[in-house]
Amino acid sequence: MSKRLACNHCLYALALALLGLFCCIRLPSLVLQYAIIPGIDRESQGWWAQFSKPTRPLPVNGYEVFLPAARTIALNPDFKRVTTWIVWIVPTDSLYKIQFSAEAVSRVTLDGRTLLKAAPKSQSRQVEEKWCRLTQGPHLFRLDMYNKDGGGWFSIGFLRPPLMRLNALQGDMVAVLRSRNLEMWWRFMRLSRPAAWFFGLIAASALLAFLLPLTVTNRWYATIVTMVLILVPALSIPDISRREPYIGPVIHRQLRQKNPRYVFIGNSMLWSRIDDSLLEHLLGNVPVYSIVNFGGLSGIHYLALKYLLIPSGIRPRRVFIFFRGTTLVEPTARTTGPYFETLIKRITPAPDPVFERLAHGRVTSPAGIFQRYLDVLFSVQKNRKLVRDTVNRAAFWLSVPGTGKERRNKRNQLHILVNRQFSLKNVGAGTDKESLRSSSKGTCDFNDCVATSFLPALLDLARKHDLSLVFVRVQERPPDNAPVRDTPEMKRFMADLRSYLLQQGAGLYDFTGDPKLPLSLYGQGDHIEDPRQYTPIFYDRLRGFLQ
Amino acid sequence: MSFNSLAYLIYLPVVFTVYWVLPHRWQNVFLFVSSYFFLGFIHPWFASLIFSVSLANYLAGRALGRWPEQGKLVVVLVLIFSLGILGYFKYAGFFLDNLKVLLQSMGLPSFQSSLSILLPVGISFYTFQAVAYSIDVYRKDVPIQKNFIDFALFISFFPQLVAGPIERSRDLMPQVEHRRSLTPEQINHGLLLLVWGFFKKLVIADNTGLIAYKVFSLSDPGFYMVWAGVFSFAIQILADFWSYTDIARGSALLLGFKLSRNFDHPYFATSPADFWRRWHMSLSYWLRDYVYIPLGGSRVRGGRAAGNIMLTFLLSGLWHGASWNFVLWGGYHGLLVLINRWSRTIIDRLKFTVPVWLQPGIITGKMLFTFLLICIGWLMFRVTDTGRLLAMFQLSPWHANGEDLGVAVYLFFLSLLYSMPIWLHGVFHLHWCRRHTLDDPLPDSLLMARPLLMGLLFLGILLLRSPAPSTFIYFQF
Repeated sequence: MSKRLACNHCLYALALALLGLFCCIRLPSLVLQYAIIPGIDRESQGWWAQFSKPTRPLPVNGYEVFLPAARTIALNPDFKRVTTWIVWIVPTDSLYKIQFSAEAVSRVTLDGRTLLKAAPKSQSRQVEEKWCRLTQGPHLFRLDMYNKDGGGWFSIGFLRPPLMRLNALQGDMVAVLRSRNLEMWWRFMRLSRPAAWFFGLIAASALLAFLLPLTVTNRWYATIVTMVLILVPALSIPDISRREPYIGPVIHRQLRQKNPRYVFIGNSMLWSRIDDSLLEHLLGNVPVYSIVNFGGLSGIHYLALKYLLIPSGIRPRRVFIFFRGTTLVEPTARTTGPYFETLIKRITPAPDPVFERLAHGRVTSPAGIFQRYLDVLFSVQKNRKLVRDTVNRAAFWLSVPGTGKERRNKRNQLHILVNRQFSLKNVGAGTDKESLRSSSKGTCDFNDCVATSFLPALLDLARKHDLSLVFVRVQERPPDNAPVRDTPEMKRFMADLRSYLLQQGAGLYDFTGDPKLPLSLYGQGDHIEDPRQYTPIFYDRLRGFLQ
Repeated sequence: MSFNSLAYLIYLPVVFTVYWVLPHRWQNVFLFVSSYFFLGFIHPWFASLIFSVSLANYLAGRALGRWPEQGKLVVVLVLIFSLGILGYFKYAGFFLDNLKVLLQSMGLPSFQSSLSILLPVGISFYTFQAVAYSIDVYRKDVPIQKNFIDFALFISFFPQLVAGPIERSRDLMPQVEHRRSLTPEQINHGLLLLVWGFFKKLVIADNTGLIAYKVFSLSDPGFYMVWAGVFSFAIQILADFWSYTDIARGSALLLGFKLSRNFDHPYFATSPADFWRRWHMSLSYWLRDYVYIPLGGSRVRGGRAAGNIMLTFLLSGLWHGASWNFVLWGGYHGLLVLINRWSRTIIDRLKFTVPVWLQPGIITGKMLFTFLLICIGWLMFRVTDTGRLLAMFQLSPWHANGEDLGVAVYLFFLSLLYSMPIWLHGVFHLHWCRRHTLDDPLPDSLLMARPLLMGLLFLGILLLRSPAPSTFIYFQF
């Protein structure tokens, strides 16, 4: 009798905890819907700022003000601390990258969740970034900033795949809040996460308490629970078919309207190098079109050619594909992670079998689907990075234990040392038979890698659709203004690539070592500071391909 | 087919389902066919080789029953045949290469060695298992197996086919012959072994293997780096081989078979001899029963006993691979066991008793010292180039680069973190063994811990598995 009573109590606790968990998960959206949205003013756009602690005697202790929404916002130097609010009306459900930089110690929260934190950076404008998946509709931003000298500035914007252009939170996308008790509602939102954990733990404990007493006599029962606990996550069918909207039709329409003679495919290397309008002018008003997928490498270029250019029906005279180093034969590079998953879904109408096979080593078979299904179910890609980074950080912490700036600096130094120790120049001569066996990564030998790369698929696609491909290797950042020189391995790689492309009827141009590309032209990393400086050089060097 | 492949994850449930649907007499036929399919999946030719070894030893068993007076001759013939096949495929290249070097060094006309033989997977394991059966029949320790399918299944049973454990006919043959049943405890334990095995391979072995790979790929690693790499390799090889055994035992349990344990937390050993009672136990016992004891074992005294130990360990080293570094590794372990034996005799004569309060400290010290000695052996095992190996042994901590120490400490902790479940398991095991035997079932209060543990291990595999998976190290032996 008492056992049954205990079981019932467990079930009641479980039901209540699940209800609490559900409410906590829904709390931010409930607060938004019923407390925040009714108080927003869509007519005026700006930040609702609450200042406090003036640095000089002022007739008021704190006041509130509207700041017009803009990319960068400067704050009154009379105040040390400011809290600003804005409602961002998110245009569509998507993955967004929030970019933020500030002069002072700051924290950005979105719907009560801490999104970004910025340490004081008076010298450099280091940009903090964070990915987040947002649903369409209003979301509450809060920004807290503290500057001991008073005043300061902050800058916030968002980027969205695939184009990843930076947008400011302004115009009709934002609204000013007129709600009262904002602070209180915000604290409610903040509470949702710890409360969800609390109820989750109660639910788990109640479930265990319910299950455990029954195991004493029934081993079959334990076995079934074992199987269920392993299989249940796999049975809660996640929607792996959910896709981002395919942007192909938009690009096809633009291509048809422009009917370009030359099309360029690449990533930020292309974006920072080619100015379409200047090139069109240099070519005598010949239309050109750039398909830029930021961060994308050969796999993404293959998808861009297959799903963005070819279905448009446009047959340009030449298609230029920009690449760096050996990335043309690295099929798995930059094809995983939340950003690339979204990007891939936006540039393809359905999973591409060739891409899946080459980039992810998975086939569109039941086994492949199962693997993808696990990836989605446990957010494997995202969580793997998180967990592995945590293990790495723990190892660094154990190597140099302690808190404080000095210890942190020592850990950073160790990090640099580890990277230097295992840099490419230190590796190689000692590679023995076992090392090769236990490594799945091969060397960068072109002939070994080409068969499993996207290169044959790209060339095959071009041949089928009567397109002429030209591969353009960009020059990497010159070291200390000295000319860029390839290593002997890289020279061999390029020679092999050249002869391969020649055989396949494609062109190749290598900018490496070009005297007209000094360090002064470069911006961040391998990017060119101003594409208008590079475009004439490109026109001059590739005149043969552009005739 | 490798255990850590998607093909096996499909193969095992299919075999499990069909197997338990069939009546007992068809179960063995089905397992025999599936085992050959398992091996043939790697290379169809491998199946024919194991078939010929099985047939030879089966016929030898029958012949021993029919002509017992010719027993010695039969055993010698089947040993020549079985070990001849093993010798040809595993050692012919090594022998010819060394002969060539020897002839050249003596100034005699040499030859062009062009022998390039593909080493059949698992040949060392199934040859030893088959040979042990013939010797056991000759010694009248086990009955003769008359059913060829049963015998062939005993040799080729797929879970332990590629990398052991090397089963003895007295343990496995009765299980092959008799009706098997499936109990919930078996499923529970089998699944846990499978998940734990996959965790050890995909998370611990592959991650620490990557660290070891990086260190041994350096063109000029310093003293601290080498030993951090050795520590990583020590964990890699344990997790790698142990995981194979666990997956094999888990798979076999699901099919109603109980395979012998091959590992017993070897890095918790308190002496080199103790290490060999815990590491690759099935090989250690095989060598003890078929090499060491027939040579005289511990019945002989003095130099001959020492010689027997050395010979057994040299053979053990050579069994691992046709390379001088393995012979060196075997010899090193033989030497360690001898020194351990002599030192124990001296201590026993001194009649020195350790106070009870000091014993835990002494035992921990012994474990650490033994682990250190084992690690020195692993360096010989890992580095096949003798010149490079000697150069590594000549590295001195006094002339080491200070920066290396920081990086090595980081690599040490990284390996330690990845291998933490193995160490925790070891500590739990020590605690458990104080009050229970290993065959004791898990108490009911802990029964529900299994699903939770499995869930955690499963998540661990998904989130922590290495980006560079590798094949099982012992596949090459």
